[in-house]
Amino acid sequence: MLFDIPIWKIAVDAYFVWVLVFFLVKFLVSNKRMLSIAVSFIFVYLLAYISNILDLLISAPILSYLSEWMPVLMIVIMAPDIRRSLEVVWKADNRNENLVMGSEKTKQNIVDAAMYLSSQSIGALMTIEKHNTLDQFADRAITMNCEVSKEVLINIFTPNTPLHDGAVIIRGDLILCAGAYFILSDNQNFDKTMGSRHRAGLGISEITDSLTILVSEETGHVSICVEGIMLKINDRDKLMEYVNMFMK
Amino acid sequence: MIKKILKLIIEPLNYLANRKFAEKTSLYFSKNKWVAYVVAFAFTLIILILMYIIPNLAW
Repeated sequence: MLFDIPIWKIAVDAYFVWVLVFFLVKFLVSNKRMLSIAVSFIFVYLLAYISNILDLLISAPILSYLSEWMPVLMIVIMAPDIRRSLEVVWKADNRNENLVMGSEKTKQNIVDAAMYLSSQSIGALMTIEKHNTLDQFADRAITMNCEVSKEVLINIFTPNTPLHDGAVIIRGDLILCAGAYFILSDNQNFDKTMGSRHRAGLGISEITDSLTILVSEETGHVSICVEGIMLKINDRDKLMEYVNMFMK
Repeated sequence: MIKKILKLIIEPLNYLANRKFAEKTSLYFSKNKWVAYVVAFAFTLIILILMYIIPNLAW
């Protein structure tokens, strides 16, 4: 017993508090914009606390009113960031343990399709799933469930066809879906001349452990996005090497 | 130095909530994953002390 409270009760309470605090810390540090707003909120709460203690006539009621409404304001203003941060926080929990990576034939088909699309300057976005499931994006896209082949991939991205806009999600040897939309990256260091396709590719690589192959429709350049990094690759062998490394 | 102090007095919100601070912290936490555990543990200890120990202390 500690202060007439059973020790086990305190231990359970401490564990629950730790879980909540850890979630909050991860939630805040996962997004710099959230963090900067949180700092300013903490500052306002601190001012409200000081003004209450000093019993200041004008600032105390204003700041206490403001601090009451701040959580609501934060949710409204930061809705997209909150969604994004929650995805990062849950990233480790949505791991698919029954991982199936594609065969040699699938790798060849993906690389061949990317190089062909590049030569024709046809824009493409192909995301290869790894541990983190992409189901939440696939659910809102057009389900395909067909075997990966160069011809199907080329056909999907052919301009003015219904599926050419959006991303293809590849799981193992299957094209899970086409026309998938990802959350765009808000990376401030990102080249402003890059389009939303590149931003989407980078965005999905920031929140999952997937590999995304991008083909620019303006330049025909092939890039890959992995772990929040974008690499420009115009060599077939180099692309194959990265795909091989990823799909081991 | 004086300019920084003046900025802290005149524009405290802007000074404290500037993006560089958030960027540095976010980057540090992403590079050192264990820091989140330590910070969470420290906050938990503070909350426990505030809620369990301080109200039960006989002054």
